[in-house]
Amino acid sequence: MSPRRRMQYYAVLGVVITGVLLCLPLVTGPYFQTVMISLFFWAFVGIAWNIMGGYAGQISLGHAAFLGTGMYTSAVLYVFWGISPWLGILVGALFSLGLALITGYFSFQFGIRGPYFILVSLAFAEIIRVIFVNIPSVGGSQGLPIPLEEPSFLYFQFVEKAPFYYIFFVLMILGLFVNWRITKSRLGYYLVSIRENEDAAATLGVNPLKYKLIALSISAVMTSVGGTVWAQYLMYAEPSHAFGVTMSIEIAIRPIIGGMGTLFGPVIGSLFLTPLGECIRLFVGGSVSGVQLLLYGVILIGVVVLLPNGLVFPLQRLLSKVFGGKER
Amino acid sequence: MFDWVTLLQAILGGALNGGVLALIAIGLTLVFGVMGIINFAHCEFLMVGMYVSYWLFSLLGMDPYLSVVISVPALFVMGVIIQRFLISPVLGAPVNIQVILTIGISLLLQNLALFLFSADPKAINLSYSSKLLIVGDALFFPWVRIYTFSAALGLSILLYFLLMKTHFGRTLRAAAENRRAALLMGINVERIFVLAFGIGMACAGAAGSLILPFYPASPEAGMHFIMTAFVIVILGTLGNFVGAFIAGIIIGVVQAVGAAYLPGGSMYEAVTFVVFVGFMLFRPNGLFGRSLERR
Amino acid sequence: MKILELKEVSKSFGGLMAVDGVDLAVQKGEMVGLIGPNGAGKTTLFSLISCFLKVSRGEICFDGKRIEHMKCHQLCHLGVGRTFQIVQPFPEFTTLENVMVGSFNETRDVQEAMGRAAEVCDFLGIGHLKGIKAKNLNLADRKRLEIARAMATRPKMLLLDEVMAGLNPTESGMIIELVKQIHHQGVTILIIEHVMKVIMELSQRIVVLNYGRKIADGSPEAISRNPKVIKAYLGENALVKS
Repeated sequence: MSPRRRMQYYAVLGVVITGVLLCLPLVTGPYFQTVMISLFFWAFVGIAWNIMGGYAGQISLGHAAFLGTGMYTSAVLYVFWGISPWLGILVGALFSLGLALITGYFSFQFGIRGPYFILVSLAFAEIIRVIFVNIPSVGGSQGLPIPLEEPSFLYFQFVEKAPFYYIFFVLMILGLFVNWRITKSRLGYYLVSIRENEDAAATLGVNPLKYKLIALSISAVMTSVGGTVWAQYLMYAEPSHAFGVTMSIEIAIRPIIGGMGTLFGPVIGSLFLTPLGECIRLFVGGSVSGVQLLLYGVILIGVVVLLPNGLVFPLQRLLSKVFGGKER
Repeated sequence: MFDWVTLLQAILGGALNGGVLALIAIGLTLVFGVMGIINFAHCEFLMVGMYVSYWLFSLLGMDPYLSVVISVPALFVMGVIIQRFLISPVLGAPVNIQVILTIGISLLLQNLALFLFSADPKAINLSYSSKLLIVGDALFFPWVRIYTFSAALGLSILLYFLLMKTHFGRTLRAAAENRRAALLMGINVERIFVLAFGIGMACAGAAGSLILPFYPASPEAGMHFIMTAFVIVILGTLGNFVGAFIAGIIIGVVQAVGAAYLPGGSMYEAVTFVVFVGFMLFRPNGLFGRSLERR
Repeated sequence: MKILELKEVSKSFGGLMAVDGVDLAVQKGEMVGLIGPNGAGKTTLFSLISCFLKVSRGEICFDGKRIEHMKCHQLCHLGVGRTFQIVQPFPEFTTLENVMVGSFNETRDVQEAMGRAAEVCDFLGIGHLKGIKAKNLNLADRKRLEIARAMATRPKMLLLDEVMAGLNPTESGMIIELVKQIHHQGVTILIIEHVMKVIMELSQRIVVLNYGRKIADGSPEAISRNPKVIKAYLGENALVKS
């Protein structure tokens, strides 16, 4: 099958799937929409993480810091000063950008890489969590509830789930688009070259510090935006949820098992894990936290030992038998 | 008039703590030095050791110090199994993959403990738990901490002799320095890795048993030590056995002094973090420069 | 005009002087060979010139600018290219993509980079391997990829670190031809090599290091008759063929 035909097939497939997804809320109930919202959300933040962790190869377990910043900034701005979350998105993104630049600079300038960067990112997110737990005015460890007033697009208040379904879906598509544009640009090539061999990349004119910071910044801003919308959806901002290690793991695990450094990896990871999480919730209920993370541990181990490149590739092979294969 | 007592108490108490911290770090640095793996799940094995000793105490009344005799072999075996089936396959893979694997193991162990034993911290009370060594009417040291330090020191010395004076130790160090040359010399490097990993985990498990007298067992116990363990390993230079021990004592002192003089409960963690970042930035080779590090 | 100048360059590791007070001047367009017994400091010198190590003492000037404190990517922008003793490809990238990373030094446009990279690949004789991932190439092709990548950045000066290592005579022969062609294009070349035949054939001038010091600097004929050089290689006579 020629590349042109393949592209046509994929385009048609994409349109059909998108069309179906867009129509689903009209025929399905709130529970289904809830699951799909989670799926889209985790896919989106997974895509954001993937830019840093998958493409640039700098795995971070501190992305909860950016998510939480997005959640809290808009929540605080709205609850205390009545500022619309649309503006909150921007302010949160700005804060996250600042955070990314500062921690990124100190890490990368001084050569903190690989496992050490993971540790630093972990510790960093933890510190932020501890800080927020200790600020009583924003709810301390109880968190900050966002009061439900009247439905309004301006203030991101909706009674039904459907609007959030569409918002998160659009977010995910936007995320995919941004990611795709990056891979088709010099930035994309540079990021992967840093991942593959940072020293060699440097001798070819790639400034590792600059490009890692760019990757981290894009990743942080996207994650932050996701966080803001998520807070509005949950109507709540709580430090252990927003900033905890668990959150960082949730963000990272989907792209990791779906396929780091691939465009659809995070989506596939989310497709696999989100329904699984729901099943666990239904069957176990009580000690949900323990069981779910336990399963994550098992899945991570399984994927690493059996499918180190993630789920994308076996799936690709399946698709290629039908269509002819899709590249990185 | 400067309060020497507080300072001295902090320094000596910290040094005592440092002993067992050093033992933890030695296991970690050994695994890294020999296999080049940075094991995120290391302190989860500490947690396992704690639970092993806890249940031996609860069900059989066995003294935790005695239970080291059980937890060391048990953790050793566990380490061997995990190495053979999980770690071995990914030794050739990129570092990121290895790290993800150990993170997965860490998640698994932590949450298995959570699932089986619930999150409640389980403390034990020994007849001599509250006995204190009083020096000069001013310094107070719980005897259990002294016992723990002595045991940790003893185990470390044992390990040192194992590494330096026995044939096995020599082959281990050879494999650490140059894997390929060791292979060519007929050393069964695969077996060395398995044994090294087992020893590393046994260290962590032993440390778990040793801290049970004054530190309750809980699924997240491991998480409290992992950062400190990594800081010690880096401070003492990756792969450097003796360095890890010395650095362990130093960090123990730093944490104790930090806890004594800084406000807030968990500020000592911040101090540790600052030390970590400081060393990563300015002296990633640790205090002792030369090491068994492999790129 | 001088394109590269080293003044009193030294590098010590603890108590060990890996490079000791080396003066070196390379004219634009020259092909200079760097030889010396094992451990003489050749690769260390390369690393000093190409940003991987910082000098303990001394100055390095490239194209009139002081470069001792510059970062690798800055050196690349100035026109310094290098290959590594142990090849360092981007394993998951294809041959073309590997070279494209180099081409991006000159342009931001993906299509343009692709075109230029393809040209460089053809020039280096690896055009037929464009779609193959670097991790699947054999050593000889990887060596050519290494050179292609560096060439894609359009360097003014190229540092070749033991490009022949591990190649059989046929493969070496091809690389020698390529190096000559690159030189003809006007690129200044500094080459480290252990294979004497290669160095003698390629170099216009040879610099000899021993124990970190420069002990000789002259034409290949002069060097092969230099008693100091012969003494340095004493016991390795087999390597010195005239």
